Amino acid sequence: MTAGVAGPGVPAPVSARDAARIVRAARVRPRFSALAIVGAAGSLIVVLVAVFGPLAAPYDPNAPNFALILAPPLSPHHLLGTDQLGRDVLSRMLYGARPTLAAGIVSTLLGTAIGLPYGMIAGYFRGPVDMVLMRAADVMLAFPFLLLAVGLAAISQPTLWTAVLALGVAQVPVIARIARGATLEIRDLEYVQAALVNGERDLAILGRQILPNVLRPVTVQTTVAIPTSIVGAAILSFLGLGVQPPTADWGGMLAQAQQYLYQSVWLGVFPGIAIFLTALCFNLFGDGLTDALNPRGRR
Amino acid sequence: MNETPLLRIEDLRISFRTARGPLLAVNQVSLSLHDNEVLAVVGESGSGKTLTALSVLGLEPPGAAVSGRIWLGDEELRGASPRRLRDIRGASIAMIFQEPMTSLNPSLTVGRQVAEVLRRHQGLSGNDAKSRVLELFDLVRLPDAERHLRSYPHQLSGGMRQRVMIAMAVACGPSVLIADEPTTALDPTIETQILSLLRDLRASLGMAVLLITHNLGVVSRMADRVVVMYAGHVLEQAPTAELLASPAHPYTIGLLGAVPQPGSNADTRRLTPIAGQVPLLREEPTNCVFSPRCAYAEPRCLTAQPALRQVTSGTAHQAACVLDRIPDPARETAPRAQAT
Amino acid sequence: MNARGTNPDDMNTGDMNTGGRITSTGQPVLTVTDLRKTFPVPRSAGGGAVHAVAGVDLTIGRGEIVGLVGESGSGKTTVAHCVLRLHEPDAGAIVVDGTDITHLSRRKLMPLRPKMHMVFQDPYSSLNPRMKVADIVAAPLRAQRHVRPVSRRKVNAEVDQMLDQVGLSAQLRGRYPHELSGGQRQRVGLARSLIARPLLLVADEPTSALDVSVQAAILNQFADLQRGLGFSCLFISHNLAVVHYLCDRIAVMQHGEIIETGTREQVFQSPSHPYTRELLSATAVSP
Repeated sequence: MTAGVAGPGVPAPVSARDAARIVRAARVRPRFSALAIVGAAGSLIVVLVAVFGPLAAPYDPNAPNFALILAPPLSPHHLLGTDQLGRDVLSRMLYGARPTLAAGIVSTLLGTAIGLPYGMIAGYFRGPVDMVLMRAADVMLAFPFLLLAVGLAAISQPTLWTAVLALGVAQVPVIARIARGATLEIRDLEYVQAALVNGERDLAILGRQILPNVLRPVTVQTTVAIPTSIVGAAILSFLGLGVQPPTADWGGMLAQAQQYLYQSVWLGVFPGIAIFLTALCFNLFGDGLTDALNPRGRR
Repeated sequence: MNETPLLRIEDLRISFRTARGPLLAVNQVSLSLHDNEVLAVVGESGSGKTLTALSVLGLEPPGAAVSGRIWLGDEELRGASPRRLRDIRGASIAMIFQEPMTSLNPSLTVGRQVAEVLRRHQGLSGNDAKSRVLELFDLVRLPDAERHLRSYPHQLSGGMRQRVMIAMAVACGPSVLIADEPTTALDPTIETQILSLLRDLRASLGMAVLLITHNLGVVSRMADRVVVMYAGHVLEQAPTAELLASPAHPYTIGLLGAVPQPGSNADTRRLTPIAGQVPLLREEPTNCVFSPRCAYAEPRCLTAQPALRQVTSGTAHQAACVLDRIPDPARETAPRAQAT
Repeated sequence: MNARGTNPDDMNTGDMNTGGRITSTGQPVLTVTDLRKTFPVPRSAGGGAVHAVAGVDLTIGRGEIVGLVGESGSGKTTVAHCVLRLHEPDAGAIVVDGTDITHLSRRKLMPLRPKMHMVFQDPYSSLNPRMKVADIVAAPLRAQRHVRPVSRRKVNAEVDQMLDQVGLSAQLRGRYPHELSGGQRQRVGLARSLIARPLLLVADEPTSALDVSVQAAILNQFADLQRGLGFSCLFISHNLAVVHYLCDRIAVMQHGEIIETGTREQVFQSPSHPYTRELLSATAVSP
């Protein structure tokens, strides 16, 4: 008789460890919560608006119409009304999504592109390299991005890109910290030791062994950083340190709306709510991603 | 044994609903623990032994569907109110776990944690509690007891933490101690000390011990009787000496043959591994759960999971196998190669 | 006779199968002399230093399996790490196949790497979860491609052959570690460590994290591989029974020092140190 009699009802073999794990996992099943789905949907909508919005805009966002200034929402031909120069608010909102979102996302990507290797190098080599890099990061952390933006504006004209730069640099130490933490954890794992024993070079180890496993926590942080950057971008344009008028962007629109609050409160409400909802949706999405990607038991 | 068992589990069945379908983790498990005896429940991972132990105290994880009956003396535990269960836990039935680092609160001193048990069940506080804690530390042979009152778990070694756990467990004089792999995470020499401590405590405090382990060495040194579990079922039970000398179930035989034993199989060229892996049961098995890996399986093993039956009449040795006599284990050639 | 069918007393006549890079000289594969390694304790944890390894001497001949036994804190893993130059020793010498590697730079060590490798304890952290089995096993060959170029086809062939030798189906080459059982992962680890045909394999408790029945299978596999490939091995464990099954000679470590050495028979039948006796009694399974 051979071992292992095949027959009906013989259960498919699953390793015993997996059995223990499945039992444990059955206890807490992380779900992508309803809120997170709402957040994901909302973020997607905003992105679509940013990309395709201008195609749907009924008017040129910068075309003034002095005959019809400060029209209220639901006016004929102007769903969201017009601003103090008679420009269609809806069109400006649709065009304005782009700079706001671009500033938020690009700056975060910039921060990640710099912060990720920064943190990985600090965490991998430790010692004096680590100390120098992290102290430098602490200094960066101490500088509010506003100050950076003001500084950049003083050197050259404030534009969307100075805003992006300021916001991006502000992200670097945050991402670097996370990357460093993850690297420190991974660095001592046995598979990294195995790579060292293989004789692999540091660059190869960083790229092959460490990076793929650091990406997960960093990605999570990135999605959480985007709403912060979006609000940051809005603040900068509000203060005139970002996109310059007449280009439409939500923060700038909010700034201009201040003077006309009594005549037309809507001028401020629309961009304000848009910024708020965008940040909220990205936030919820980021939280959901965190929960879904970090279930109990790291495997 | 004619006396009424102290702890009795009857027809325990625990299943889970998981994302991949139902999981039957414990099936038709019955066992009884008598006064002052050490009963070992042996199995590898996935055998259901830990779940069985947890269910005694109602500590099975949420999402577990449990059926069956459990008695402590005359009292049924499964229907007991949460309040009654809380009173029982720690006082009548205590439990210690494998990894003391996660079972001890890292932000409280160990003295405080033991005192907490005393406060909860015996209403002790202040100096009364403190002196009792010191007594307990001496009982578990924790060196430098006075100093360690104020130590935090991370400042103690693994063996010392386990002693603290044991102190907490016996603080209120439980009649049953459930020990879930208490020495698996410890070095061999520390393991010897902890096991001998448990043996002495059992004798001096008159406790019964339900010992969960996968280590046959621990079993041979500690247990009066052994229950062998596999894939949620009891496959064999017997007094320890008899189980180790003449195991009846092919799984037990396989386990014993898979452990290197200097001095006994020193001249055997091979350990005999059991090919295949422990199965994950999704539903009621329609065949003997061990048959896929069994070297002696016959067609009749595929009809149903065998019930436990007497191996030799007059003894307390039972095995869940339809075969009457296992042919000479030496004839078992290398099973069909299946990387595990 | 031990599990591998060799008689330790015949060691020097070398009943070696072919296979493996066995150089012509009869010198030992590994010689460790007065090895010392100390780790500083951070001030927040009390300061001072831990003398992990405090003067260890060890020799391993061709095709020999030497067991290094000790409990946690004994320094055995540090010895392993020093031998593989994952750490640089504070004092002492490590000579592998005639070359003193004690203080060699990373760059100089690189071409010597294929001579020694390691099998790790934890099947769950010894394989990169993001790499496929084939890539994990091929890594030692690929890491050497600047010094020793190999074609992709050759690498694949070696990987498949190695998977077969460790008892794994070639179908598993495209899988990820989380799709494998603990025993299978350890086999992958074995395949990786042996693909470059090292002279010396350091095995750090390779079966401690496995179930009993799986442990037996891995130990058998290990013995078969050693017989077939003829590598020398430093086998680290706290379990004397396992060490007895596999090893020709045994060294017992405590507190950073080796307190007893001898052949298998000597250590098991007439242990001289009380600690050895304690360890022996702790690992017996007496029917």
